[in-house]
Amino acid sequence: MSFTFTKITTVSATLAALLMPSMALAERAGLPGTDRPEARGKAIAEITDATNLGFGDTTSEMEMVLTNANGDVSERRLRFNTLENKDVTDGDWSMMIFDDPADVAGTAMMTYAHILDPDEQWMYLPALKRVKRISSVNKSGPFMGSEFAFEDFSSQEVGKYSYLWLRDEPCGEFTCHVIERRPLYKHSGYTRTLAWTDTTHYQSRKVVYYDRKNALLKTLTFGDYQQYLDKYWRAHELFMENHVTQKKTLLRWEDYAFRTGLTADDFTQNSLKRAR
Amino acid sequence: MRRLTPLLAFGFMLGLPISPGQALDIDVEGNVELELRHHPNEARHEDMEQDFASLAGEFELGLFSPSGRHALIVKPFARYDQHDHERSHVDLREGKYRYVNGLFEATIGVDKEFWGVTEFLHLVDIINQTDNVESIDGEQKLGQPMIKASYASRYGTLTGYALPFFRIRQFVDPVTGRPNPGFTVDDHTTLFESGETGGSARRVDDYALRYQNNFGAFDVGLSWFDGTARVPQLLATGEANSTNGLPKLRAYYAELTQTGLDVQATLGPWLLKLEVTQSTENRYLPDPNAGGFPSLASAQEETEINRATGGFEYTFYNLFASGTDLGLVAEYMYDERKEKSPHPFGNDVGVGLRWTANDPQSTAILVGGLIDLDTDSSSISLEAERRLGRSFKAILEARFTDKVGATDSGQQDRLAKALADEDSVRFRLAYYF
Repeated sequence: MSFTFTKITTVSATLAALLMPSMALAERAGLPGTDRPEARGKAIAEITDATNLGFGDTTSEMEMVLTNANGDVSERRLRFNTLENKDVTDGDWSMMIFDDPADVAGTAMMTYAHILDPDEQWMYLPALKRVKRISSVNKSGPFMGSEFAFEDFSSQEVGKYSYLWLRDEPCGEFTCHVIERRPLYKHSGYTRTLAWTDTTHYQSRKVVYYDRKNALLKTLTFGDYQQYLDKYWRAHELFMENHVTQKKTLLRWEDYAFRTGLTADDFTQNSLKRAR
Repeated sequence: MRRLTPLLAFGFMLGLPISPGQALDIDVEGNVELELRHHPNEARHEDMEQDFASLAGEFELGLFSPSGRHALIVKPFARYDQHDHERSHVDLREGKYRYVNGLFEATIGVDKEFWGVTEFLHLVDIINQTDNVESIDGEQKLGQPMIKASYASRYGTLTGYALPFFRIRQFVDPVTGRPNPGFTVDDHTTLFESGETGGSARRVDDYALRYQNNFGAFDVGLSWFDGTARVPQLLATGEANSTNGLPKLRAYYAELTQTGLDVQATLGPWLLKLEVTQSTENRYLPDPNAGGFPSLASAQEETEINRATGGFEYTFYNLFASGTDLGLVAEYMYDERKEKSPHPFGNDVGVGLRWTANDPQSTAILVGGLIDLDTDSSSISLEAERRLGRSFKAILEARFTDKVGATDSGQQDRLAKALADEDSVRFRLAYYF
């Protein structure tokens, strides 16, 4: 089935390229042509990845608004500390601290992300004062009852997916490359995702997720992009809509700070226990 | 956690060194809970109660310097129980000053430390005394006064502890309290190896050391403890409680050395766990005149005890794409003394099933069973919890004895028999702030 799919998309990609010859002129130098959709898709992902290179470290806060099919709303608050891995062949280190709801306040999760090897993950449970190494197999499960899965949060390293460029098309005020990504890591909840990446800043504008049966599952849209240190783009509003359950989750990011001086010393089990 | 700037004034009142414009971080959080407990079995004595209402609260105040280097944390806990006077208690769970500089961390004051990896039985965990009146699952701990220094290098984390005070294990009220284990323990008669008696806290010179490191899929801990045993040996006195006629036992705390190893291998959805301890202490031998129980009249012998517990945890994540998780836990508990061990985990198997809904209310259900392989005795527990609204949480717990068995030689499982009439259902409604 996937074979047929690839063929169809290749055809439509070629059609799109024929219909929009002007796009090719405005293209970034060195981008593989539309006749090489795999190489082109991967190159676009690499450009996006490069826009984030050298960010060093960030701290940020996040508000999460969950809305169910009846319109009932519940909220969560979390904080994130991230340290860029100088080794580009390995993933970043991160710490996630829960603030709200109050009964889980102080719970913290530390992740050493890897590209295709399983991530290393520890959870701190403040009531028991216990650090527990947890399985990082849980990719597809819901994150804190939201419409985001754990894998939607983990760092989107280039090597985690295979790519296929499909077409270029207008997306709001921008033009977007539309790429199909297939997860290469185990235990993903998706067969594939379609990602819209703008051709101006090379940032994600929209992602459509297809479940393991290749049925449409959910759509993520990115809004309120702001640029930091004249280089690094961060979306401040991420909106996930589940087409099956009609549930929605809005992530609102606040107080992004770059190069705050975090080091590897801030990502030990002792610092996980002190996280607050 | 709440950051309350108005409370800065509090810091000034306490005389803390805050200069204007310097933001001292203040965290305030806590919870209060109403607990209703029901024991369906009729009481063995008319003074024993079947229904208990109780109120408890925990409050945490944290003051943090802007650099994060200095922290002052105070966390008192209190419970009032309608009938059980021993369970009505106040404890300083934490009360400490902490200094951090890079990979070095030092703490002075009252704190709680957890060691180990297993779920049913915590063998290597020894720093804090168990808060035995709070819950019989052994997960609740009393605050432990300590001086702690820790260094987390890339070769692992080494932590040293000086523990200058010892706290005894509290038992439920001998008359009203439940679950009643079939005997009573009088705190005033507590005996220490030094020969001293009485007192709920004691000045001691206990020390501990722990090394912890992570090697890929393996998390490994090595620990050493030299001090007062946290688990007392219970000695027969020949006396009985004047109200209910239950035998009066005396708690004896020996000097103990214990070395421990804990390992967890995290392999995909499998968590493989092992805890091993070897301990040496002077123990009283069984007294033939006291029904085989040790008593003050029996001889003492230096005893080396090897214990182990281990097993696996396997989780089916996102079961049938439902978004829910189902986890299985199975652990074996071993004591080389087997059925002669003074605790119920000589040769036992624990099995648990944990279902988490991953819904906005964080609904979770845990069903557990314990089987004694020597006597076939078994008990079952059920825990369910769910968040209500934004700040409340409802927790339901039930524990009951399923079967009272006997050894091959026909000796009945005494503890299982005593607890057979002590089934319980406990409902808690907690408000978090």
